[in-house]
Amino acid sequence: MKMSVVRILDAKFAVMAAALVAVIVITIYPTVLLFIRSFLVAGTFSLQNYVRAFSIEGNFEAIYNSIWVSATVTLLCVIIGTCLAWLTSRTDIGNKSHLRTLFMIPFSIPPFVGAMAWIRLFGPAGLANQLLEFITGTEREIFNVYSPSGVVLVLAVHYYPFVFINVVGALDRMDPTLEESARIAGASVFRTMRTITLPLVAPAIVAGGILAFIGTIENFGIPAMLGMRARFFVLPTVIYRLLHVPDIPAAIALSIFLIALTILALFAQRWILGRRSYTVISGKAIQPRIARLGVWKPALTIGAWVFVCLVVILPLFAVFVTASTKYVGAPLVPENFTVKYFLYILFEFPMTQRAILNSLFLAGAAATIAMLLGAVISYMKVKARVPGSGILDAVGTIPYAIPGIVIGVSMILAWSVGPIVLYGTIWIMLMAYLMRYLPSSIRSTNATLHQIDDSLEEAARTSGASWIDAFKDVVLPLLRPGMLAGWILVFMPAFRELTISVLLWSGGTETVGVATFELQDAGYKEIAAALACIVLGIALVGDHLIWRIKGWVERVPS
Amino acid sequence: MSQVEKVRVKNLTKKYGKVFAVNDVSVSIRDGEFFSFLGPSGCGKSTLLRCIAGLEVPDAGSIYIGNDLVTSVSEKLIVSPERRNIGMVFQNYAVWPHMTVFQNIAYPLKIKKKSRNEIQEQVNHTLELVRLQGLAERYPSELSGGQQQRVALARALVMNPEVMLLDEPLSNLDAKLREEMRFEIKDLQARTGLTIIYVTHDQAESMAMSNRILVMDKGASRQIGTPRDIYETPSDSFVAGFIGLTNLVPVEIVSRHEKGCEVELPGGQTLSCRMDISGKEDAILSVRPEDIEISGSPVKEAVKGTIKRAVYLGNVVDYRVSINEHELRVQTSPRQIFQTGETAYLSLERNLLFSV
Repeated sequence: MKMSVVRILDAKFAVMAAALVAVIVITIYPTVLLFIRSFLVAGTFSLQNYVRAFSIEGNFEAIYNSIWVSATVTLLCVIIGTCLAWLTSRTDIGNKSHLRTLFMIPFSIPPFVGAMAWIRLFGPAGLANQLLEFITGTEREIFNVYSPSGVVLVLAVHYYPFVFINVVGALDRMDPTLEESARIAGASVFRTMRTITLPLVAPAIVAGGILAFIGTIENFGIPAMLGMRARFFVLPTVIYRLLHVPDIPAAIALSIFLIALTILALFAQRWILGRRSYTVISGKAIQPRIARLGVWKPALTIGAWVFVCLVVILPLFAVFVTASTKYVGAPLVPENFTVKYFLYILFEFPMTQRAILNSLFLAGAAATIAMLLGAVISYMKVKARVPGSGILDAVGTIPYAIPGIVIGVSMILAWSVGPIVLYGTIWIMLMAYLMRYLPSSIRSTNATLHQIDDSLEEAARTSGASWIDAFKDVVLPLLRPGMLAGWILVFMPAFRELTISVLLWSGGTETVGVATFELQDAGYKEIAAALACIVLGIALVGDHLIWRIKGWVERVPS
Repeated sequence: MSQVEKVRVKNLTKKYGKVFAVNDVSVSIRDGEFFSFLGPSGCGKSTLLRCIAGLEVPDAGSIYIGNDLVTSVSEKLIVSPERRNIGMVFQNYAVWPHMTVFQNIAYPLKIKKKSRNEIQEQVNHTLELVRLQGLAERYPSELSGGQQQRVALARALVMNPEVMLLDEPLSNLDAKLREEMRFEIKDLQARTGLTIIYVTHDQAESMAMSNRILVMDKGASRQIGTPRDIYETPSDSFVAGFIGLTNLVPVEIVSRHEKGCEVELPGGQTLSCRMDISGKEDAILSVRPEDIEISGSPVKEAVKGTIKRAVYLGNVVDYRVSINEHELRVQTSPRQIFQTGETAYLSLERNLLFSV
């Protein structure tokens, strides 16, 4: 009946060894292989790959484009996100909670669907351009979305919610007495904002800005749909093109370069935030001080709703209209509406049927496996505190810094030659999804486990439960809502994934992202839009579910 | 309370890195005793309790509960917590939020695979004991802090443990409720005859509730004794200073005789003590504020000082009296009140000497 210390640790080390093997196969092997291959030419060490990559015409320009596009988009995101956050957190603007929800919607719209919507609005013969032509009578279009500025604009619309949500959170949780003290000390409203509020939320702005930067620099869907036609390339699209040439060595070298850029951004964040770790933001939600907009109120309210129309309602409307009218450009009268494209993709067209099933399977499998593996890794680190588990956690989260397109490249390297060939099957995509989404599942289980106080498990032990029983009866039930949220958090982006899938798919393993992309590219706009509508519906429902679950996770007392 | 030992801790040591959380502590707790581990935060009292519970693995020493050896580092033996037959109440209650009051309390019995009727009966009985009748179907989030604490107590009680371990159970409650729960826990113990080990940093709490107290500091045991022992004959200046108020004055022993010694206070005045510490010249004199008598005119054996501050508190007057460069705190009954600046003669009754 007596258990020795050594044996308990043995059991935990065995579980950890299994998790380690999984992380090595999923994450470390492809990453290390990519790195080594970038320095190998015909089996010997060389910098030739890098030299080649930079000497190919257009590549250098793509790097330059990536940097300026990301920088501009980040700046736009910071301005838009911060202003909207201030409006909905600190002013008396009407319908705040609706505005908040609406401002978050672009986050749920897959980037390539957003691009399709904007093409429909501002592409040649797009709805907005048509409307303008009708009003002004001129042939000139006001804006062509197939252009560098189109890429920048659509990226900014997609990524500003990262800044918005961070800043809203910081503003909501900020202790209002900090601002009140400044007012009492004699500072005006404006001065308080400039000298107290803004510096205090600066870390949140930076954190959101860096997320937007990383998201932008690795985004494939938007520059692929809007930029390539205008011969405007950025790193992800140029890597995509190199793989189709195929020029694998150059693609590898550029991939390493893209990783370097993301890591640089992450270090910048550390460096900026490291010196500004404020603890003034309390955990509790307190009623903050509300600024009265006064005479500006009507103008700002109208402005906010115009913005919502532009970035949320019009794009969604454009996709929906495309999918449910008989042909692109048909007058919007009742007899032109139809559900035939929806019926077609769901019941007749094998490719889209396959794509939906493949995506459901891949997203479900990736979410389940990533969640279980993530739960084991965080349990070992947060609760059992097994020595070495911190390293496992750190290694598992490395892919945070690896852009999706690069994960695709490393998968091709890892699984298309050697003893196990997965290339051309659905399993290589599952491996890629696991690598991509393991970090977020580790993060979310870490957060959930931290909320479960150790004493809850210990109370079960002193009540007579073995550690298996304690885990089953106490930890697991408390972990479940968090794990469910984490599962959806992986399922949603995996279901609408495009960047990795577009590199790894082959006939029979299409995903909804790939199918939409290819159909749009081939000119089947109505079918592509119908598929996009289904993706959108699932995305909106899923993201809504996550907020709901998060709500009741936070309500569980710890 | 019998003289039979219920828990015995022998030479227990627990280190975190290079820091000793518990340093070679030995203590034995008798059957039916209310025993406190008392000390400032970080003194190792909770770690010691967690070692007894089996939640921490010590670096040296052994622990017996009843007649069973449950921890022995030299024999590489750690009986896991669930096999020790203990009940434990945590500082933050640790009531499971996903179970009702009934489910929380029934859990230890379910683990023991008791029959349904038996569980129903015992839970109801325990609910009555902690005065939670009628709340069985509530969830913890629907209970007040005091009620949650009772659930935690009931859950620890229900399996009729060999010993109950309470880790600062009242520190999250407000003052009034704390007083009430103090009484209830004490009353519960009287009715059940349980052995209780109670961890607290609140000396008034441990004085009021305990049969005996272990005073700890920096991981080490400083004194074990009844509340009266500890208050009246503290073993060293730390215990004297931690339990109640006391004045600690550095002094020098100038001469010795059969009954005690003469000491010199800072500034040169001398005083006679009824005890001695062998061998050393430097010592610390401890005298409690209520053991000092003030007189307006010279008294034999008194030291002379000046009233620096007088605060009227109703039942007592609280003085700061300076004797040369040192200040003493004095509390007397308010029958005679001295004003700031007056000269006062202090008789230091029941003074104690400790080594530096």
